[in-house]
This record gives sequence, structure tokens and C-alpha cells, in this order.
Amino acid sequence: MKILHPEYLWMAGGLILLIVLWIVRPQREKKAVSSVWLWRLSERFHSKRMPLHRVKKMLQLLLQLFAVSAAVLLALRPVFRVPDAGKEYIAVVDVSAGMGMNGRLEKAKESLLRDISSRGAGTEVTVIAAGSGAVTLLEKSTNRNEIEHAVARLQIDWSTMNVQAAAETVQRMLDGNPEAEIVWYTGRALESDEIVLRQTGDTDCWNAAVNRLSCSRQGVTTTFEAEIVSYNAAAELTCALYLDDRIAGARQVLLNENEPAVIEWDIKNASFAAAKVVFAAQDALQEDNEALLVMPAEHAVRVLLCSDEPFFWQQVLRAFDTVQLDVRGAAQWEDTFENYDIYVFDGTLPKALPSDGGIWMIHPDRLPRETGLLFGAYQQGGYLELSRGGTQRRLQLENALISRDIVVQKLHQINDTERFEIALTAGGQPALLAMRESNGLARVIFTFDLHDSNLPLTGDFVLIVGQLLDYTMPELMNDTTVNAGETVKAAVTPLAKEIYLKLPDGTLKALPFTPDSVQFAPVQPGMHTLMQLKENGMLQYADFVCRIPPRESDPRAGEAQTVSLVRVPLTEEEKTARAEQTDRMRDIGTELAAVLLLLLLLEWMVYYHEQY
Amino acid sequence: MDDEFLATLNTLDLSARMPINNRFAGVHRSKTYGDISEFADYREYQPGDDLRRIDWNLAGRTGQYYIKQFLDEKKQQVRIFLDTSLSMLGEADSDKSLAALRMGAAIAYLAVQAMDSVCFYAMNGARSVPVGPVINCKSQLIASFAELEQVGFYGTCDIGAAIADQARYGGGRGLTVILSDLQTDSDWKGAIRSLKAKGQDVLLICLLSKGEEQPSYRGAQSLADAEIPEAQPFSVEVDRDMLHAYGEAVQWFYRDLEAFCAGENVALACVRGGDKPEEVLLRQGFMTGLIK
Repeated sequence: MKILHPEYLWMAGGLILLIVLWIVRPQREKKAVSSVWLWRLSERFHSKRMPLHRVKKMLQLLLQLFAVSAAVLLALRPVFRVPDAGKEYIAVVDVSAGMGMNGRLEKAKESLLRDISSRGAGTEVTVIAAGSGAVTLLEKSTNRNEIEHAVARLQIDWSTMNVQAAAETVQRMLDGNPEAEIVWYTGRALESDEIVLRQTGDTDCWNAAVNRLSCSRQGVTTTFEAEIVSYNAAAELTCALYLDDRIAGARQVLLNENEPAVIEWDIKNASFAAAKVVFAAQDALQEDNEALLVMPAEHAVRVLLCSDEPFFWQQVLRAFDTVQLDVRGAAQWEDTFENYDIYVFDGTLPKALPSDGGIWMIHPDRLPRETGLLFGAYQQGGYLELSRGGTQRRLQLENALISRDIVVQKLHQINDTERFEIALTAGGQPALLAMRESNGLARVIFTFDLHDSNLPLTGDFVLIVGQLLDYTMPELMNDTTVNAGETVKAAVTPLAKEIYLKLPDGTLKALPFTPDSVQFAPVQPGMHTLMQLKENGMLQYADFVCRIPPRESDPRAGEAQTVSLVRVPLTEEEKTARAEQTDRMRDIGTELAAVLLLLLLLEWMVYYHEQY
Repeated sequence: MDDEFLATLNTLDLSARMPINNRFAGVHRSKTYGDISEFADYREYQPGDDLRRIDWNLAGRTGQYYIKQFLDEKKQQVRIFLDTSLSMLGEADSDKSLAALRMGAAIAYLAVQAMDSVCFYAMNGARSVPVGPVINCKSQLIASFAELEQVGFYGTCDIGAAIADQARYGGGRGLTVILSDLQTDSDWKGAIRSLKAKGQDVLLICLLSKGEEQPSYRGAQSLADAEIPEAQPFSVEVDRDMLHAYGEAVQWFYRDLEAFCAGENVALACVRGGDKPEEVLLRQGFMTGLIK
């Protein structure tokens, strides 16, 4: 026990004062009566009625002493060290998609609450939701309402249980208290000596699922391929293919137990944004009875080419379908530049560079101050080669340079290239440099004139420009289908101000991002849209499908996964240190105030009872 | 006694609930047969019988000689025992002694009216002392009132011993009236039983003041017994519970009294706080058959 305000100890003198007052209180009133015979008789009745009447005589004094004691204690503010003596119960609940089968999660919740009820009130309960990650919903609580609230918050996250992540979370708690009881509620098979496994759900139930949907084009024919599996029972299903919500084909398919079957549809002149294969079945999990496929959106890239001799650049840029090219001559260079994704300045630069798009500087007569670069004298060139620097991470030119005989006759010497990454060199000098500003805008510098090189005459020129286009205006997402719970890394469009993820249920979720990338882990099955709002108000988006991981459609427990947990007994010193950490200092001020009030009330009641 | 009450008393008779066995003639029936008043039975003539008592009419009709027998009417001896202990003075709000004297006087008046002989006894300590001579007529009664007023209330009273002491002044059948608050541990019950065993009719008059039934004082009290001033005062916390217990004690006292009197065929009149002694006498007298 610790006293927070010992300076109020003088108030204890009130106890002595009370006792003194009790002793010197007015003595009994003397009275002569005709006979005390009836009083003696009544004393027998009184004793029979109230055996403790002698104590009652002192009751008021005792109540007053207790009240003063409570007041003194309240002023002293004692706090007590409350040992963390309760047993700890760590409940890990699998919330993966498989737990959605036949109400497995609800059964797990019921089982969990039953288990906790049987443990006693002092048990500290921790609830961990094990989905794509491990989320601690409640930590060391003995409050029944909090526990029930945490259990009610357990929801399917449609991913695969990340056993490793959950085990790491549990291990951290186990390190603090090696005696904690760990109970894992799942439909999967787990292996560990340190956990108690509660199998929730029927592993023999029937479930069918569309595990995969893909399409390929050959000529005018688009082939759709869907893989369908029926687990734990053979089944005959009718599968339908929808293109943009219009039915495009249907097939009756006979599925053997646990054997995947592939169904194909060949559709000619198919034009669609989204395809869907679906079947109707009353199986264990409805959410995996369909598969979606979205085609990547092709965003137009608006390019302004400023050149007096635009022939090569014009030809090569027009080779890309997505490029919307505008060309300006030198006379128009000083016009206002805006609303282009890429500006290509060939031979010279405007006084003020545009700030709303990537800039390619092709052998400019000077370099802008903000680049930090200065052109030196011309140097003799050489063969165009890949730089050994780190540029390849962004400018993936490994496969771009097919020929080894691309020559640059001469090129500018550059003094400092610290901020830029060198993509290509010629004669040991940087020939192509690139960098990305903090707002994502790309800067590309060619240090040589195309006319001084045979590059425009080679196929590599198209490849290099294609890579530069991708670098300057990156595709937001490479894959259009992701598994629920998997981390998705998407590119960030230049000048991105805000990035949102639109979920299948229509809600928008703001995502944090860096200029390089944005990462997120979708868990809702269905169509998602990644939306990137640029500073100029324009919106760039990419659709993708989040699907239930195929493994989750299988109701069987599967092979046992090992849960790596280690219980290391604490040494005495560690136990003491842990007690210091975990024991709570409990302030009993509220309780004391309540007791004081109660005593005063009792005192008043006794006084009232005596008087009236 | 006021005139109205005296007028009421004049219309009433004191009856003997038990047969009287006395040398003097009176208005009360005796167990022995006599020749004075009421016919009771016939018996066959025997030699030596008074020929005047032969019923000649019956002899003429039956040819047999029968002697008429009459119930003898005798005087009743009424003894009135007055508790003269200090407790009878009561408290400031009441005077039990005055009530006892008034009750005693009224009973004496009724007795004299019924041609009974009356004698007052003052019980004090373990003795009973006669207060004046035996009263046989109203003039003697009026004279005795002055002596009654002179009776002093002091000390304690052992009712059992005091009643036993009255045997010194004669016995036999009759009515014994005991006026007391009965606030004593003495064996007054045993004394009454012995009176009953001697054929005495007993009227027990218990007097309690209002203050004794319902004490008005509260809080811590040190109560001194008026009868035993030298005794250790009785300390008591007069609170709600104690008053409740006191009420129970009073109730128990009355119930015990009633049960005893019912068991021993003793007439009981209780003058409780606030009761008028005359009313209690008339009410209880009629109820017990002592007055008709």
C-alpha cells in the first residue's frame, strides 16, 4: 500500500476527539420512579428481542469512528498494488473465409463464450482475430461486457488465416505470461503442443467453388476459362458466363468429388469490361460460387511534343495506341503549358517548365536550374549501353536494348548526376537520365540529339520510349485479380493528392501512400476500384477483383500447419519484474467515498431510529 | 366519593360469590340451613324437632310430618388490604394511593350497605395493620374515612407476607380485597392461593398509573426506585426498542395477572392509566358478579 497524501494524517486526531467526546458526554439523567420492577422485567424482553443490544449502545460511536476513519483514508488516498493473479486466456479465432461455411464463426463464438464462462470471473481474456493478419480485439480483460463486445466484433475477413502472424502475436503474449492458456478456434488442422485446438465446423460438408477465371484472345475469339471444384461430393452444376452482366453462355458440368474441372467458352468479337462465371448451389459457402474478371482500363496518355524537327518522336509516339499526341513548333513554345500527362521538349526548353506532367528533355540547349545539372562540353560518344546503376528498378531496360550496335556520336558531358539515375550510357557518359520528383512527376533527359545517333532507326527506340511512357505514367496495378487478405502494391500516379479504395459495398476508404507506391490488403470479395485523385482534379482509377482464396473453399481441415510457439518459464527475477509491470496500483478513493457516504447514512438512520 | 357515585352505590349490592359461614346474620346466603328467611327443603319430622316448623298443610294432605328447612342468611366479613408502600404514591402525573383509597371506600360502602362487616388493613413491610375498628354501619364507615385519610404510604410492601399476617386477625369465609400495584417480587400469588384454600373470595385490584404504562421520558436514564432509595439506580437507554420491550413487559404483566386470576377464580379489576376507579369498580364488579 502506498499513501499519496500523508500530510493529511493529522485528521486521524478526529478519532481520539470522538472517543473523548464519548467519554465526557452528558451523563444519564437521574429520575425517581415509583418502581423499577417493570423496567427490570422489560430488560428481559429487550435482551430476548435484541441479543446484541449492548453492542447497539456503542453503534453510534462505532459508526462515527468508522466514518471518520473512512474520511481520513479518503484524504490520505491510499493505493494498493493489486497482483495480476488471474489466469490468462488467449482466444485465437480464425476469421478466414473458410469460417463462413455453415456458420462456423458463430459456432466458434458460442464455444468461446462458453469456455470463458467456465473459467471464472477473474480470468483475463484476450481475443485475437486471425485472418490475413492478427488483430487483437481485446487484451487482458475480465469485464464480461467487454469480452462479449469483442466476440461480437469478430467478423469474417474472407482471406486465408495467417497462422504465422497470429502465432507471432500469441508468442509476444506468451513471453509475458508463459502460463497463459491458448485456445485456437478454427476449422483447419493446426499442430502445436502449446495450444488447445477447438475444431469448429463440419469438415465433411459439401462446397463447390469457381476457383479461377481467365480469358485469352486469339484473333477475334476470346476464350474464357473457368476452373470449378466440388469438395466432399460429386455434383452436377449449371455454370453461366456473363459479360458486363449480360449472359454470354451456360454449361452443365458434372464434377467429380474434389477434382477440379475446367470449362471453356469461346466468344467471338467479345467486347466487355467485366466477365463473371457463376453457378447456383446451396452449398456451404455462397460467396465462392462466382468468379469475376475485369479487363485493365486503358487510360489515354496525353503527350505534347514541342519540336522543330518532330519526325522521329512523332512517329514513335504514334506507335502507341494510348498516346494522344499534340505537336507544337518552336513558335508556340512559350504558350501556356497545361493538362498534359507528358511534355516532350526536343532541342530546347521553355522559360518556365510545366508543373502538371512528366517532362522529357531531349538534348536541350540548357538544363533547368531545379534539375541541379549542368551541361558541359560535348564528349565523344560510343555504343549505347545499359547503366550499371539502380535505374533498372524503374526503367526496366534490360529487355529494351536488343541491339548492341546503337551508337551515339556525341553527347553532352554532365557535371553531377546525384539526383538522377542513369539509364543508358554512351562512351562512359550518361546518355539517358531519369528521376522522379517528390510529387511523382518524372524527369527524363536525353543528353544527345537523336540525329547524332542511329537509335531512331532501330526497334529498340520504340521499346525505350514504351518503357519511358510506363515510367512516366505507370500502370496503377499489374494484376486485376487478387486474393482477399493479400497485400497489394500499386503504383501512384504523378501528382496524386488523395487515393481511395472503393469497396464492393460502395464505401470509400482513404489510403495512405508514398510517391512510389500505395499498399493495401483488400478483404471483401468482389469488385474494387483504386481511385487516385490528382492535384489538377483529374481522376485515375483501376478496377480489380478481390476473390476468396481458392484454399478457403475447401471445407476439409487439410494438412496440419505447425504453430510455432515456445513457452519459456520465467525466472524469479523476471516474475518479480513482470509483477512490477503488470500489477495494477488500485486507487480505492471511490470505494472509500462510497463507504463514507454509507456510514453517514447509517449514522443518520440510527440517530433517527433512536430519536423517533 | 361524589354524590352521584354514592347514589349509584346505593342502588347496588355486594354479593357473596361463595357461601358464607358466620355467626352473624346478614343478607348473604349461608351453606347452613336456618329458620330466618328463604325456604330450601323438607325433611321428615324427628323427635325433638321444633313443632312450629312442621308444615301442617302438607301433613294434612299427606298424613306425614315434614319439617320446613330454610337457607340461613349470614353476614359477610370483608377485609380490604391496602398496599401502603411508597410505590403507591405513583409519579407526578398520578396518585395510585388516592385511587386505591377511593376504591377501598367504595367497596366498604357497598359491603356496609349489604350489612357486611368491613375492616381495612394497611399492608406495609411484611405486616398488615388494621386501620380502625371493624365497620358494621354507615356511620362507622363515615368515621373510618377520616382514619383512612391518615394512612401513610412509605417503605416497601411484601404482599405475600402481609396477607399471611392477617390470619392473626381471624379468618373464615368472606371477601378479601387486595389493592396494590403488584410491582413486587413477593409471593402474593401464594398468599392469594392460601386465601382461596380457606374459602375466601378474593377481589384483586391492580393499579397502574399512565406514566407506568407508557413512560414519557427518553434517552439515557438512571432510574431510582422510590421504594428502595438506597438501591443501585437502574440504568437504561430509553429508546424505541427499549420502549417496545417495556410495552411487551406491561402486556405480559397483565396477561399473567389475568391468567392467574382466571385459574384461581379470583375477581380482578385493573385500574390502568387514565381509568376512573369508580368506573372500573362498577364494570369489573358487574362482570365478576361481585356487584349486582
